[in-house]
Amino acid sequence: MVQKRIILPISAAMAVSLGAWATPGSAQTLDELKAQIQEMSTRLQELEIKQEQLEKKTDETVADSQTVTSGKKGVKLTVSGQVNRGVLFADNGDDSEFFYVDNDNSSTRVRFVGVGQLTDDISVGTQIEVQFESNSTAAISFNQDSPAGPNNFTERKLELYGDSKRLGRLWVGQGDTASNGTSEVDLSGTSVVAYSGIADMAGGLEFSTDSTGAIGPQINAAFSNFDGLSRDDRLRYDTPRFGGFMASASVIDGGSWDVAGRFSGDVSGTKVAGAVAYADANSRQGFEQLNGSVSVLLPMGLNFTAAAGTRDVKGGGDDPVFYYGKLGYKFDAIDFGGTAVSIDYTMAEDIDVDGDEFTSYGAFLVQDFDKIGTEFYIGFRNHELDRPGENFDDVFAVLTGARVKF
Amino acid sequence: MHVTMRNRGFRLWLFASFGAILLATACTEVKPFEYTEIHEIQPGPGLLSGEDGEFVLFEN
Repeated sequence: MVQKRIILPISAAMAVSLGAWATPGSAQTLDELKAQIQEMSTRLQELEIKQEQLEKKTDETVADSQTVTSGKKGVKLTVSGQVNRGVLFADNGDDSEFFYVDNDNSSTRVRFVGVGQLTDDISVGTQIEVQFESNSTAAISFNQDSPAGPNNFTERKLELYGDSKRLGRLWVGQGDTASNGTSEVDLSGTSVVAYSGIADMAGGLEFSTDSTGAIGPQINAAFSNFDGLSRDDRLRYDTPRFGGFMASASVIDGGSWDVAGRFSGDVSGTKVAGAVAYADANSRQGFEQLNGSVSVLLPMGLNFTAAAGTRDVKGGGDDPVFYYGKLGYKFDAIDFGGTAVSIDYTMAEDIDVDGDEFTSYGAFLVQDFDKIGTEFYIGFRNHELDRPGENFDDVFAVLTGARVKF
Repeated sequence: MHVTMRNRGFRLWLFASFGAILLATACTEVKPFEYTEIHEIQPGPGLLSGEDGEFVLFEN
């Protein structure tokens, strides 16, 4: 329409101007020019009408192709998720089996994230994340006749937040407590198959008694990485980041509470991340807990990770404790994506029974295939449990599989 | 939390680790590095969703 408003007066002005200086001898040429200008104006109008019709049709087509729309400005809704399935072989000295599992290191899940911008500073967000683990590595047993459950969606995050760039973020709902993840900081690139929560790889499986073969304790009963207070129904506050540092606190349904500090930054090309937390769960689970982890990734790919935690159990005996260390290397072995390898060692004491000494070590490989959003992995892990008065065979496990982001 | 020999050693380890981080960051320039916790869906491309790894259902 702008073009039309401009071109028509120009055409008329040109016609008048031409008429003003034209001589009688050029009358015929002038008429021809006027006719040409008139014809061009007409064609231009026709083209404008066609263009308007085409734009309208395009808008309608785009609207028809979107299955979800919103009329509001400053809002965004995304959906993401992953499938993480594998094959686990395990041997506890008495029994050996193959399991077709969901890898509990990073379960199969789907996530919806919504964000709305209120002002330049303030936004409001929602998050719904649920997992569906069929035959989870954390739930399987040597004794099972059919795949372990739960055969349904289970909650991970059902929460909303208000965020201010200046004041921080306040979370309400089911989600990470302030201390969740503070034992699990890991820059090795192999966390899909191994991190400080070593019981996620084959945690449901049981040790067997050395002499009789009788079923003993599960791996995830004999070990914990004391990773804060997990996910729960809570009110949580995160400060803004100051030079890579951030602090958090949460109060949890039932009266427990926790505080945590986190750091992540690039220090002269070396990536460093760490976290530390204190949790008071006396009102619900009867313990206080202190834990932390740190991970360093050098520019050359070499990386180091360490984690530790201890728990003061109300009325209990010795305070249980765990230590974890990992040495890794990230490099580009093939063109499809990065390669990461690592070895780790962990020890824990007095977690299930006073006097227990649990150790585990393993070796791991993860190969990224960026173009298809997939990581292939394989890991080997041995688990040992020494208990006063009882002898258990080691549990050896091999897990291989793929995590595919869709 | 009462202090035993064991958790005294643990606390020493914890404070030494974070003291080292604080010292390192105090002495050098720290550039932003966004760490995604390992229990989160990791950033990066998706099989179907492409480069961003997520489907944008709508964005206005």
